[in-house]
Amino acid sequence: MSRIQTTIIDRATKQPVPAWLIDNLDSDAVNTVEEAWSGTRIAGAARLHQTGQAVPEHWHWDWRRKSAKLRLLAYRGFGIECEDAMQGLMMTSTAKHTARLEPDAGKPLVYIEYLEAAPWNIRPIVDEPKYGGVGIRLFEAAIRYSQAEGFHGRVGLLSLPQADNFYANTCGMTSLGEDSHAQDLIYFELARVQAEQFLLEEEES
Amino acid sequence: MAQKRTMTLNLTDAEMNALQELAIRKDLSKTAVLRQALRLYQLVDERLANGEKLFFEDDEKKQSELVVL
Repeated sequence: MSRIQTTIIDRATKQPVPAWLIDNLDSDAVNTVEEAWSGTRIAGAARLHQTGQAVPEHWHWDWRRKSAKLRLLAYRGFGIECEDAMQGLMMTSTAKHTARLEPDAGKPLVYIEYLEAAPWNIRPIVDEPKYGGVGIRLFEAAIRYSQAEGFHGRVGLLSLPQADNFYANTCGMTSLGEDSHAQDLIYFELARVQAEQFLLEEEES
Repeated sequence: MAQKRTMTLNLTDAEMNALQELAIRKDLSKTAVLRQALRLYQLVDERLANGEKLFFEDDEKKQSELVVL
């Protein structure tokens, strides 16, 4: 595992706080995170369901069922750690998908299999989320990983409907429409030019 | 990022040409092509070892071909 300093936002003070981007998480590390998260995630989803509110679409995720893939070279685990707790997780793959956007259609990209912020950072699982900016830091890590692999920042993913706005507007990805092979989830892709623009804007902000 | 180790790779002209062509087509370095190939080979081999099958589909001919690695 490697650790790179980054920042996320303390929502109480609205100020950036130091955090660590951790690369190459193994399955044991991811399983430990799931054990720390699952109680809050499930309790929050149950409370929302009982009060008739929309439940986060990923409430049933269990990283322990996903983490075995991390022993394969095609998969990689990333996390954002702050105050000795994991604030977000992401799993990528690099061998199963290729770009669809021209002029790079057919060329490799980093595909985000799963990305989740810790449940205490998600409204409405909690009323007052602790940290913000976790998802965007993980997305940035995917772009930088893509560049390091020679994929020029290309990133692709299938989005859950509640996250469509985040990927389209916050991340600046292009929607390529519903994927009939994946429960009609929308496939989003970030082209190399969009990746450069994203990183430029992040550096300026 | 993970520490990298170096190895010497001996290829025939035909293999080197194939590697070069893939590198150009995929806009990758030759090293990146080989790393992608290794990832894919390991992924497919793992799934085959678990009893899954690999098919190529041709939408026009409505055919699927079983691939054996």
